[in-house]
Amino acid sequence: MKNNRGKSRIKKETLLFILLLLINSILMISDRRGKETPRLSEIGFSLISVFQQGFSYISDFINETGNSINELKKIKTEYRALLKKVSEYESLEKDYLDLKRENAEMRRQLSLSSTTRMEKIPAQVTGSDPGIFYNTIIIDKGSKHGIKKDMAVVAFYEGFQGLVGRVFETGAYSSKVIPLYDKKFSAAARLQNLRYEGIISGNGDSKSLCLMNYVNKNARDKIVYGDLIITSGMSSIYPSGIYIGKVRSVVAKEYESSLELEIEPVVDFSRLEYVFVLSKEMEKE
Amino acid sequence: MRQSKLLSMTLIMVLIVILQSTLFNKLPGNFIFPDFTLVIIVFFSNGRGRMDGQISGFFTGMAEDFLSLSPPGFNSLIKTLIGYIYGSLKGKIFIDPIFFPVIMVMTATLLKAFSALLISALFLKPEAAPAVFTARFAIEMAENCIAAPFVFALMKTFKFYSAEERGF
Repeated sequence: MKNNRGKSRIKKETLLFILLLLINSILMISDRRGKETPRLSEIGFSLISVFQQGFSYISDFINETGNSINELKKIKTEYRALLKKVSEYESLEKDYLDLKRENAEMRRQLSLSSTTRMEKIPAQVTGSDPGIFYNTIIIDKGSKHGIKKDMAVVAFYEGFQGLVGRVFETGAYSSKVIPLYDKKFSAAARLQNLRYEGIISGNGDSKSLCLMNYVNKNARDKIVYGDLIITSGMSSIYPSGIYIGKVRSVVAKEYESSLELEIEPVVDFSRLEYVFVLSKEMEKE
Repeated sequence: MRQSKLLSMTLIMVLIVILQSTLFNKLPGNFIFPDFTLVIIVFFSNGRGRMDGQISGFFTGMAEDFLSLSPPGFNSLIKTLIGYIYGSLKGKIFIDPIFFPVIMVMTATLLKAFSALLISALFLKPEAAPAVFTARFAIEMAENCIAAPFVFALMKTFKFYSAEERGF
């Protein structure tokens, strides 16, 4: 009797095991085929990210409260420095308005009727991938805020508008971003000054350098350490002129017809807190 | 009683997944942290058996999949498998405070890596397959082994199973 009960239990456990394996396999196969419905992942992500955002805000609150005393001291010094800067910017603003007027006039004369401008949606980084096999950045804005798959994500860092990655999946109130350093990431790029083009891709780790491939070999002697890399705008995802990184080394293999550049991203991913999602909604000026 | 223990353990693990994704991310220094849920699944499955091990593994892995760029089912399949295998060891191993926790978690981490490779080969497009045996993996495995005795000792205090349930 006891033996039969034991056998039946093992049978149940094995059946459930097979069922769970089947569910997981079906999910992965349907994902591979790119089936849009049912988007279990999006629904699950939307649900779980509510709790995740809660944790994120609580930890931020605790951190900020602890740091607030030091912050007050800093603010006083920064306030004085900023007052000085404001007076400098006042004169710059006048120059800017003159240049803008001049630019508009020249555009009119050259018949360049319109320019495109991307709308920036600000977002806070609330999390990262819980495992080690994938690289994910989670932000607190989702489809309800107008964010869609494949929108470019940037951050302002040391005066540069640097590329962070692109939106991979959206939940209702949060989104997953595939970062620049991920192996699956790629973007059309060019050297800002020399204008040579290439494809930038990640190396799998936020601490390692990114790679820029397919750069014309003629650029070999012209490229210098620290040259800036920007997006070329050749793809529909990333608008041109976003900073990607700086050249750290040039790899020229004899048997290859192009150069490989090692690039240090301008964005420091270990300190990333706020980003901007570039909305594809274009505005005509 | 059995279901409530399973439910509470699964909820704790889902909570740890969220913490791993959120709070650990905010700590300075870009550290790689141990896979705490893996360590707990090994402990819990070994104490509670295949049924509870695979169910908790399935839901914990699914929570990880929701917060990751991994295809849905990837982590869930790995953790279900680990829950089932270590659940099969219920009552067969007497866990000492240090040696067996380290050995079990080390083998579980290796199993996780090999199953990730197998799943990638079977189900994923080449561009979606992750790099498995990296420096990050080596660091995580070392950390898992170090964390194992402490997590096991901590989990024992929660009394998620009795000695009788473990088969002793």
